[in-house]
Amino acid sequence: MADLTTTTTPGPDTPTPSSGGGNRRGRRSGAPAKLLPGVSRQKRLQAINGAKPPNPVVRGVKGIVLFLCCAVVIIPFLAVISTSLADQAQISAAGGYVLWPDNPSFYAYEAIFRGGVVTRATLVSIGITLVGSGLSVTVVALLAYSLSRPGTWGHKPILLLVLFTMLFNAGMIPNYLLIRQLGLIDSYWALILPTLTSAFQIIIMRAFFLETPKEIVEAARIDGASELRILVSIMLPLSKAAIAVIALFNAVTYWNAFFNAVLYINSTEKWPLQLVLRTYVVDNTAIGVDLPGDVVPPQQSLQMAILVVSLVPICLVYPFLQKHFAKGVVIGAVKG
Amino acid sequence: MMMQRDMGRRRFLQLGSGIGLSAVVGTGLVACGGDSGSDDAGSATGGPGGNGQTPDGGGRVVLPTYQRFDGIEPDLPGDEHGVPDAYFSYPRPANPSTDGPPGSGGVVRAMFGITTTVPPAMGRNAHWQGLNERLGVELQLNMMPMSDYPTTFQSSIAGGDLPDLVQVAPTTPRLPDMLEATFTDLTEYLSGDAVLEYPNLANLHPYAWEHCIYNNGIYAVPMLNLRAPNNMHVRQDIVDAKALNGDPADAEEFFELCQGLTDDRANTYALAQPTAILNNFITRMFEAPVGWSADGGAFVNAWETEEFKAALEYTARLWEAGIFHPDSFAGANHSQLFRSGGVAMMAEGGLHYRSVLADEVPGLDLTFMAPPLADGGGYAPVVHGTGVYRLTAIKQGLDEDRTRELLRILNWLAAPFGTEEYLYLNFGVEDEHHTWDDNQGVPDPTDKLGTERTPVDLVVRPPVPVFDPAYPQVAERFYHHQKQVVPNGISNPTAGLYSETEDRSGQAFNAPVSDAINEIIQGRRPITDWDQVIDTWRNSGGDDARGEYEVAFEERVNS
Repeated sequence: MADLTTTTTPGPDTPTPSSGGGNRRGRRSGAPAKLLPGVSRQKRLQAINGAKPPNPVVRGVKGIVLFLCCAVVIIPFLAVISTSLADQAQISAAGGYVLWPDNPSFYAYEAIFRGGVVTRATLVSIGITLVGSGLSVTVVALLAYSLSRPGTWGHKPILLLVLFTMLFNAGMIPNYLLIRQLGLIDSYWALILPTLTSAFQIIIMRAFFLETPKEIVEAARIDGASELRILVSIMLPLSKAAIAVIALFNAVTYWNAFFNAVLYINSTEKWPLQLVLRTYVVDNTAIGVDLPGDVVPPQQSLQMAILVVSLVPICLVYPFLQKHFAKGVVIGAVKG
Repeated sequence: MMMQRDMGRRRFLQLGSGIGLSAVVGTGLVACGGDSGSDDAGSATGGPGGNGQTPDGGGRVVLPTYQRFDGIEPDLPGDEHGVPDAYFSYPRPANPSTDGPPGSGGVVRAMFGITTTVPPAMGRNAHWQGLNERLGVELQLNMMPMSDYPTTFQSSIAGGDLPDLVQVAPTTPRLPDMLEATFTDLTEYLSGDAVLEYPNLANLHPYAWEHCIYNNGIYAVPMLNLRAPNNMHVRQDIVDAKALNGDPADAEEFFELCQGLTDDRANTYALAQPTAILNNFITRMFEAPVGWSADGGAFVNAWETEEFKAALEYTARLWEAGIFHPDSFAGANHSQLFRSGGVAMMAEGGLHYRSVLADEVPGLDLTFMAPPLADGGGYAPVVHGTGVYRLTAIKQGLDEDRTRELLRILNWLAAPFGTEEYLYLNFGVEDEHHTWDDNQGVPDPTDKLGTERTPVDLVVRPPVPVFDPAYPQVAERFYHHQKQVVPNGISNPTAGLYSETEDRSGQAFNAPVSDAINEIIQGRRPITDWDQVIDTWRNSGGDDARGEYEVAFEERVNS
């Protein structure tokens, strides 16, 4: 877009010396007549964009539709954040969610961070996510690369074995027994290892490696590079998009995982954040538990505060990776 | 019909408190009349064994002797039927109910689901550390959110490495076999007068112990819950503002009250939970059985009765009059609506009112309503639940000393309201977890308590007291409501009886009936279809379940 506008407003035709790059907009609207005399504004826009600009009504409707779409996405977030800051009287009067807190306070955040449970669980989750997705990418890349090279030992059977795991799942109890036999009960590794690889990711990665022109690899080999060197110096730099996808897939999975912790973790200090979050947000009455006595469920503001806490890290990472995310998924799927 | 299914699956050995049943087991009642302090349920199932600890061949196991804790006088006394004690202040100084730490210095592991947020780990939790000190053992607690606990439970049972104390849900499938195969038979330690060695366990109601007996052995210690599992909560402020009669005398007056509370232009309604209201309130008004009736050993399902049909028709009338919130079947959050005034009444369990009060609802004036008989002339008998929230069992393979140590620890944890132990468990240490409010004579919790309190009351708990120092007026109302409804209640006679059909495929053949109920309430299906629905139910499994219950019932009466 920017390139287009500069080329269609050539320098010699705009002699005003005072105009710098900063107010190009003002210049365009201020001196149109000199630019293409006798041509209507609409025509000019068409010349720039290559298509006729829609009339104001259509553009207005588009604006409203887009605004509504944005609102649908943004309002729930706003409600969650506002409710976490609001006081209980306002929440009760509003029926559960408020859109704008009257007397904002950070009481709910103080309350959930008191005692250190949430802080500790956040650190656990961050650790699991970093170590888990790091290891996961390593393992997936190594396996996918060896399966992508023609003529590796046991190529076909191993590939079939990997594909086979897509069809079946061992189930909860056998998995538990396996982890127990491995002595991993109540260990952080029990949260990392069971989801370390997935056949789906290996296939995406392998398809990506297969796409890389043979000639590059052959050239590297002629230069005396070993297989590992080829992978590290040639293949990986060429597959950044796919790696970002795998890393993000795994990071999101590890961040959101709580079920493995339910099965394998006994000590509460090893809980990941999502399991702590469940103690706040799962409504026990909804699952048919008739609560006895002294149990008062956490207030709505606390529930929303811990939701915000669990959302923030992913929200911080996502914008930087999402373009790879979208691109990478398509690459692996379509070209594979 | 969630309620109905739940009741069906709860196999506890409940006998005497069903109205029609007292006559059937009358002989047992007479034979056991001398049992001190037992209520009718307890003595009825005590069998002819009298006070002996274990029956000599054939007879039923004897319930633990009920001995009410009398260390403190309640401000408003409860009773053996399950009316809770009410207190307006806490004794000071509180006296201990046990002498010294019950443990002998080792480690005790426990596994249980929690309904609160998780406390900090032992290393950074003064309340937990203090608990270890007082118990004389190191408690290693494996806590899970209650919604995930069944998963943990299943996998631990499958893996076979259980901790010493395990929380068990009374709804666990094939519970009797599982208990017998996995956990210790506590009969010799707890049956009859043996329990008196653990006075705080002897203070647990006999109706609760009934649910710990399977395959003729005591396999668990109960965690007490309120006897009436459901109460109608009313926003009296809204009722008063509209100048309505909040104590309807019959079905018509209840209808008028609901109509008066409904104003769809203001988006306020009387009710929001059609099925819960039907099962816990309207079927009461019309005196339908709870789940089943077992008159003389002939089982009739509530659904087959004219009373239930009348209740269903009445509920459909309420729906047609627009009295239910329009989103009732689409997941309306009745508890939030109740707080915001969107609905004026809700049916909720236990001490749910505490969470409503804790939310500082502006203008709230909370009362409770007993169901009137449909034709007037008094209040209807309410549903009696099991009175048990969860069970705690002890793993197999421990020697006698260890088992006794664990029971002593459970005894310590079951210390009732008014004792030093209860004060510590629920309010921690003075000046650290609570300050003393001299005006009211109650502990005033600090933030630290809320964070650190270790929820071991989900391992074992004493009878639930009514104690709401911040809202004494509501507490008193709740007490009087309990006193009004609890002695007059009926329970499901299939409780404690096993039907293989119901256990295996009950959900499948009951589901069409539940769907039909929802459709009839909403007017999508005429009430005239009901007989057809029930015929299908009978043929698809209902009759089989009935037969199995009747056989099981006969066996129990004759044993």
